[in-house]
Amino acid sequence: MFLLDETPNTVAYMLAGYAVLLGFPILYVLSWVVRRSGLKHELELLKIIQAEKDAARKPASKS
Amino acid sequence: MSQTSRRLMIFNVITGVLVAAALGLVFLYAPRERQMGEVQRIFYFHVPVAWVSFLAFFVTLCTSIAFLVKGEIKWDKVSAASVEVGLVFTIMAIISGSIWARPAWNTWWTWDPRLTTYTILALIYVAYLMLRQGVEDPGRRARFASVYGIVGFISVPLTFFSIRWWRTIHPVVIGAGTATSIGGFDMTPPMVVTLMFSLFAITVLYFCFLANRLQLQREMDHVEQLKAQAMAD
Repeated sequence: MFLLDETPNTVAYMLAGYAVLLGFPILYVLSWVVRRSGLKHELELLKIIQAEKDAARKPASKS
Repeated sequence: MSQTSRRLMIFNVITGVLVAAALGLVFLYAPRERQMGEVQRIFYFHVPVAWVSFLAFFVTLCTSIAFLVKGEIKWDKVSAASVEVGLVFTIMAIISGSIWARPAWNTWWTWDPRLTTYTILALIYVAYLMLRQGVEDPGRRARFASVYGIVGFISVPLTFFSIRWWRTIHPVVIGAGTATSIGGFDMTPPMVVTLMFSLFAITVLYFCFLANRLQLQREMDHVEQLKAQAMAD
């Protein structure tokens, strides 16, 4: 293809290439956001479990 | 916001500015290559991304050795983070190279020595992450992964030198290419400047990703610790 006299029009390939080169890091950063939100959710659950445990212990210690 | 988070935020902003400046050079400063046209601009990010994937796996080699020598788990965590980030760069390099190859070689894919060894390298490091998932005990996991990280690194020099050792159509960026290579070109000074700056920016991007991934790992460890405490209560 490149043995032509004129410069070929390869803009679409360049755009596709940079869509990958810029899109992949963005997707990777988004995966962190998803993982971090999962961690926040787990932390909230742990807090609820801990609060329930503390509430269950209090009446037992009073009696 | 803690001191570490603030530093990480500043590092992220600096990295963003560097990558934006590299993109500016690629599209506004580097001249259009006469034979390939605009698609040649992929080269300015494809080459640094591939180089940085090698760097990521080299970091894994070093930290794997450090873990086996010192026995500190922090080195294993850096190894795992570096492989994950390195794989992102490897996939970017494979797909962007394939897109460049379509107009340059008239095919999306060919079983050329460089493409084949690089794909094997990617699969080796995918297997590294799978190995980690398959071992429950953290100590055993770290030991197995460290040995694998050292042995797996053999694929990196093999991939790097494949275009110099065997007949290949993949162009050689530094040094003389083989007679069979297709798509190589002589770089003008602005092209060299753009490539070098992109290489710097993408290297900084790797360290930025690594720092962020390690921060995420610390948060994951914290949650795991709390879970273990909750189970013990």
